[in-house]
Amino acid sequence: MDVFVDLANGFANAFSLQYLLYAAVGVTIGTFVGVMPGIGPALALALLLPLTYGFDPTGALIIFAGIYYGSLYGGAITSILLNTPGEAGSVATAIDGHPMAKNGRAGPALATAVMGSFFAGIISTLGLTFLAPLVANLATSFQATDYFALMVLAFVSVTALVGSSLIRGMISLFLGLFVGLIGLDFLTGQQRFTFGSPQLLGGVDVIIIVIGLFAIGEALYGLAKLQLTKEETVEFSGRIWLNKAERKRVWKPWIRGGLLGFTFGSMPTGGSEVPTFLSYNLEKRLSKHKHEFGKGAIEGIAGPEAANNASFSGVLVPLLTLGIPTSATAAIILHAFQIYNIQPGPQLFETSPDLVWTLVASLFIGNVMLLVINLPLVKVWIKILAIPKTLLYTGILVFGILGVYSISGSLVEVLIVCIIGVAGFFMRVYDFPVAPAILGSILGPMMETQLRRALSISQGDFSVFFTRPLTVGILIVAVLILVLPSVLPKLMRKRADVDRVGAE
Amino acid sequence: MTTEVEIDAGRPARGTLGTRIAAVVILMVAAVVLADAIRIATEGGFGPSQPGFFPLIVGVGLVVFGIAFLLRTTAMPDLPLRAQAQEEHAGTRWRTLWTAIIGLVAYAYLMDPLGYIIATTVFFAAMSRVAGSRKWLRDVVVAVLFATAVYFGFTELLGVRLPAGLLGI
Repeated sequence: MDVFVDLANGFANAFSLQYLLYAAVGVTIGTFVGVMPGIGPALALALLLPLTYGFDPTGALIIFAGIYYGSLYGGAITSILLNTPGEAGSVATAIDGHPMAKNGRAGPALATAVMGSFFAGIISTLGLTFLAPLVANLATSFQATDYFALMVLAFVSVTALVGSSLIRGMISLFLGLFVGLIGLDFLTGQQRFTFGSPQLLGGVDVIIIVIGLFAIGEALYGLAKLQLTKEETVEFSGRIWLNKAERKRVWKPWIRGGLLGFTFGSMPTGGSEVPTFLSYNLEKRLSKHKHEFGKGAIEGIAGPEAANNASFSGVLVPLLTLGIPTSATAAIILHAFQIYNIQPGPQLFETSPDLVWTLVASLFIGNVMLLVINLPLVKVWIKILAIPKTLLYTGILVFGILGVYSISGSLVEVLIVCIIGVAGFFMRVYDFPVAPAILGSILGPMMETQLRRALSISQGDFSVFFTRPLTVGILIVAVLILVLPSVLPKLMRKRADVDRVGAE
Repeated sequence: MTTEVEIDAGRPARGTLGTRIAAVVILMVAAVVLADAIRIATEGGFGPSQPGFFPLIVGVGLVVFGIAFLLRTTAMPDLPLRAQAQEEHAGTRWRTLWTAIIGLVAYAYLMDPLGYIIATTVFFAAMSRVAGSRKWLRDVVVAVLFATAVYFGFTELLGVRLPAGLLGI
């Protein structure tokens, strides 16, 4: 098989002492940042992006993979011990992880999360290894209308499947689209939504949006809540490793979560939120210990945490082969690619196979590093939780501003990040989903490009969107996703209520 | 103050009021977006492959869903949202939020003239106090160490330029 040769080459590249060191450093910094409450992988990558400026592309990507896995693990620690999930993907982990920690089983909960992430990471990276070249092959025949339809699908699924209200999801999406349009029109050079400010001509960078929504928004939220809400920290004590009974209960959820995470991650559904919740519900349905769910069922951590990790390799499929980022994390990685002048897409596997396969290999290595370095050091990591919250949130604000300043150096951008941060605060308070805004701002301009390209090829004839079977097929799926959730969740919620009543 | 209990049952609770204000703000943003979209479309053309097409869709979409959201906060109230807003409002100390925002903007403005280290130290120490910390000495020490470490780390190791300001000689 070709892929094995390619992958072996990738490992050969990644297995130098220098790169292994980078991976270790990445995992460590990633965990350090991720363990701070409210910081998840996307924000960790956005804040740590300046750290990679001095490296070669391969080295930078290896550090990136390390930071990603590290922050994912750090996020699991805070979800379990503090009940403050940093990103949508670890919300499901907190549902059972926190009760487990309260019952004095924080160690096994963390071990389940880390080892689950490890196995799922291996499953999904294998999936990526085999699926990505196939999709890349297929994607060479994709046309503008197909890309357009794919992005419609991504918008619809992230808005309809994620969050509790379609209206608020749509507002979030359209606000994101608006921010994405700011700047010069790429075809005509006309200024759009710049409101006379020359600094806005270049548009609003995705890093600024992520830092604004996640860092500034979260820190403001944390600061404003600090004096009125008590946070309960759970003491970490006892064993870390799983006992036999626990091992028996978690391995199936790990595998199922890994498969779910990869499958849904590789479809344009906005990353980890959908698969983690699907996995949680699936494990609840299949478990023999249904009554434990919500009170510390170990399967409730194993499944979602595996899905969370696996969805990342899944997200890399559309990112690497189509150049379409379907989650905030993917958008930042795309940004990192662009710093090095690498344009992901069907050609990437032909033009820079070394880079792709080294990245894939470094995902494997990052996973192993995580298991080897981080799990035994858990007692060191939880020391970070002892940092006073006042200093912590202030520090996040300062780091956020620093991150913006280091990519732009302009005051206007710093003010924009503050505005986005305030918007992020109120989105959190009034339960507006954040994912549609981020996806809208990233994919909006790409979608417009493809639409205009398709229409200029067809000379303004809209029928191109309804005559090509692939395009029509994707659009039909999008319509189904938009319509079905208004029917299905009601059914599912009824069932969940029945379950809950039955359990009590 | 924000902690007072809502006694007057005839007035909408703070959470509900907050969602309505949010809806109005969204509609104001939507109006600005739509107005600018119309300007773009009149200047650049609103045909499907011209620059005005997408902005118009975005403007109209924002107005439509903004109105829908306003309805959900008034005529057809979204009860789970109302409950959540109520709970969030009760746990939020608004003075801290507004002070933090003003502090952030001031920090951004003063970074250039004062320099990164001084501006960051002041912001850090002051912000910790606003957030409720009462350990002055610890906060100032942490702030100085943090600001200095970041400044030299970024300028010396990573090659990112930060304003030196008053300390720059």
